[in-house]
Formats: sequence, structure tokens, C-alpha cells
Amino acid sequence: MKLPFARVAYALILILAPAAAAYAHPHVFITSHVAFDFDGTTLTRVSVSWTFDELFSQMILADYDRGRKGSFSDAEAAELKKGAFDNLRNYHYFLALFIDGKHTPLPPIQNFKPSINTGRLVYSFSLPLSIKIESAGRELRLTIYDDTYYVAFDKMIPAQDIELRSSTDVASTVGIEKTKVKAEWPGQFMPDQIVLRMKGK
Amino acid sequence: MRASETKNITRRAGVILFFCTLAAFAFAESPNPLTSSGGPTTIAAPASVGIAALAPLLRNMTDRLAELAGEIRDAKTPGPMLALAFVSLLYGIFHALGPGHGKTIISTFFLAKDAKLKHSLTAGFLMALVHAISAITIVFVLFFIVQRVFSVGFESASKIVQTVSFGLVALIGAFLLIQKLRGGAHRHLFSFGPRESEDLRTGWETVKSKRGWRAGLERASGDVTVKELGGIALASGVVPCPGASAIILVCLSLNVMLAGVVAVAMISVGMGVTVSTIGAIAILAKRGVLKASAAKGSAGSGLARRIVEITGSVILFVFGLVLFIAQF
Repeated sequence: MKLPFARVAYALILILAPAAAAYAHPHVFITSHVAFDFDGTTLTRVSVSWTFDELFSQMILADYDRGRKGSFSDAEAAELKKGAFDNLRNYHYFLALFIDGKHTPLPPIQNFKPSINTGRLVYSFSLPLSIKIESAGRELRLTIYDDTYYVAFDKMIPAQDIELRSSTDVASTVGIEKTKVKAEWPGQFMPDQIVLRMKGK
Repeated sequence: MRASETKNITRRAGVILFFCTLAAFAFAESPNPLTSSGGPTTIAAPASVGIAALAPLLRNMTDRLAELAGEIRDAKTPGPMLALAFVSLLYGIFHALGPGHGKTIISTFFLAKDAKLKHSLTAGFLMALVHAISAITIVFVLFFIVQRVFSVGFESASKIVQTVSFGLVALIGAFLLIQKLRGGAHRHLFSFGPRESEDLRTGWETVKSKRGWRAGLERASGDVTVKELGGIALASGVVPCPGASAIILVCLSLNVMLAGVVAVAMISVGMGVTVSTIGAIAILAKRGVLKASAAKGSAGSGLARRIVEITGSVILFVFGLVLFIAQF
């Protein structure tokens, strides 16, 4: 009896395709909230807040919220930052920033603050920016994605998860688009990007 | 054997080599970016859209596990404990579809060996046993004895265990490679002379006259030893799954130790189910390739077998070694 080659190849794909899906293995799940702050005709800050899944939250709370009081003291917050946030510098804080189509290095992370909201761990921090909005228009794209896929981010919904604290001097729109340019992302799976288009009035 | 047949067989074996290489990327789990120190340590590979689609399901299960641990603390009935056991089993099955968890090690091992389906079942469940013992031991030691910040301590402990596991994979690969290159039951490919030619002729006659290709395969099967299965289970199961470890920790911190043990046992059983299934598919696929090659004559079958087995051994050895060295 002879087996067609295609069937054999298919069997192999079945065996090894799940295994070949390296990195596709989330252990931690995050819901993001992003806010854009303007001052006059300048985009001054992106504020990010991450709410973690129940299991990771409980693990971190067991470590850092001593006595389970539902909040972090300053000392605990500092210890948490060192033990469960600072290492993200090696992962570009899961963020990639593109301004007018150009990949831009991340500014230093500011105002990191851990908190607890209805039993969930929340990280808040901000990226200081200084993007002058011109009448010709500017575009900012922000990707929030862990390319090792240890952490999975929920799909964002603009009306719910992205906030525009826009000034009256700027007309801006925000949406979610797939990353278009292959060179902008090392993986095969193209993550979503927040696309903010701004124009001076 | 005609040149075109050799080409066909080589092409088939090439497909295995290709997928084995892809699979080799999935040997290791990446560290937790938040609580580990340093950057990604494993080889980058594309994320799978298929598994990405599983993320919401995994997330729901992860949340449910933590909630159930809380419910068990205050429960007067066994309901939440049973629910925890069930969700843990499902979590183990689905979660183990991702990289790590020994699927690659076990499927590559079975490509390198003449294994029966029962071997994949044994390997999967030995791996589950090793995993449950390893995860419970590491968490208990960190929680009760070391008593330092768990999430950081766990990453350090995992790194040490993972390094040992890679070393073990490399050793098993080296052992299999030497075994396969020396020949054993199928040495004819690399020492082809009049005796081997006679062996092949008689072998092929046996295959034709008795029970066809299956007889030929069964005749050669059964070179898997309990020690090897134990070694492969140890190498693939000893690295604790961060999800399983997190749930025991949460249970310990909520003073529901039994729930933690039940959860990790059931997660391990679920992982064992997935790993056994993947191992069984590897065994069946290898049989399929050999079956197709046997249609071309037993020399073709021997060639395909040698290519598959040596490839499996080389992958275990090379990637075990590379990842072992990469840990330092």
C-alpha cells in the first residue's frame, strides 16, 4: 500500500506545527488603557495603564502587598518596581512608537505607580513627549505587544480603552490598525497599532 | 533502488527535517519579562496566530483558577474544589499546546526511536508526574523555606532547572546519536556491504511474504527502554510551568494548600494528555513515512528510517547543547 506524499507531509505539519509556534504561549494577560495628553498644539504625554489578570495579580499581591491590605506602601511600591517592572526595559516596555512613520526610541518611562483595583494589579506610567502639531498634520502609531508572547494584551477598543485629552487647538482622530510594514515588527504576526492622527486647527 | 526513488525518499525525509528544525525553535519557554532579570533568552520564532486565538480562552481559565482558589477558602461544599480540578485539567491541555512543556523533546525522541503508541502514553504521564513533583517542590521550598519574594525567586529557580533540563536533552540526544550512528538494529545504511545487502533482500522477502510493511516495522520496533522514557520525561517535565506554579502559590497564600496540590496535579495530567497525543502523532507520522518508503523497497525504508532517526537525535543534541550554553 502506498501513502501519498502529501498525506505524510500533512501528518508532519500536524505534529510539529503546534510545537513550531514558539513564543505563542501567554502566561500573563493585560488589559491596557492609553490616554493622550495635549497642551495647546503640543502632544505632551502618553499615559499607559495596565490591568493584570487575576492569577498574576494574586501572585504579585502575595509578594508585595504584605498583610493583604489592598494597597502598596511606598516601600512596597519601590520593591515591586524593582522586582516586577524594571526588567521590562529589556523588552522595550512592550511598546513601540512610530512618529510620522519613523520608529522612534522610547523616552524614559516616568511616574510608575502600582495600585490595586478590585483585587487586580494595575500598573500606571507615562511617556513624556513633545510633538508639535502642525497644520499639515502629524501621525503617531503606538504598538503594545510582547514579541515573546509571554504576556498577551487584550484587543483594544478605541472608544473604551483609548482616551484623547485633546486641547481645542488640535483636531485629532484615533483608531486601531494592523501593523502594515513588515520592517516595523520582527514577528510574523502583525500586532494592532493605535493610530493617532493630529492636525492643527 | 532507482535514482528517482532515492530522490523521492530523500525529499520525504527532507520534509521531516524541515519541520523538526521548526519545532526545535520551540524547545524552551521564554522567561517572564516582568519578574525575570535580563532579556529574552530563547531563539525568536514567529508567534502563532492559531494559538493567539486561544489567548482569550486561556485568560478566562487563568482568571477562573484564581477565583476558584478564593472560593475554596470560604466553601462549605466540594463544588469549588471539583470545579478547580476540572478547570485545571482543561488549562493543562490547552496551555500545553504552546511551546515548551516537552512536546518537542518527546516528539523528536519518538522520531529518533522505534516506539509504540503505548510509549507515548507512558512518556506523557511520566512527564506529568515529574512536572507535578517538580512544581510542588519548587513552590513549597521557595514559600516555606527560602521565604523571599516568590515571583523573583521562582524565575531564578526555573532558570537553574531549565539549564539542567537542556543539559539532559543534549545528553539524551548525544546518547541516541551515538546509538544510531553505531547502527544497532538498522546499521546497514552506513555500512552497506554484501551482508547488509543480503539482510535487506531477506528482510524485504519477509515483509512481502508475511504481513506486509507493518510486519517489517513491528519486527524492528521496541527499542525504547524504561530508562530512556524516564530520562525524556525528566528532561521534558522538570521545568515547572509558571501558570501551575502561580496557582499553587496563590493557594498557599490563601491557606488552601490542598487546592494548590489538586490544581497542579490536574494541570500536569492535562499537559500529559497533550504531550502524549503529540508523541503519538509523531510515532504515527514516522510510521507513515516509513510505510510510504517501504513501497519503494526496503532499502528505501532503511534510508528514510536512518534519516528520520539521525535527524531526531541531532536536533535533540544540537538544540539541547545550544540552549544549555545560552543559559550562561
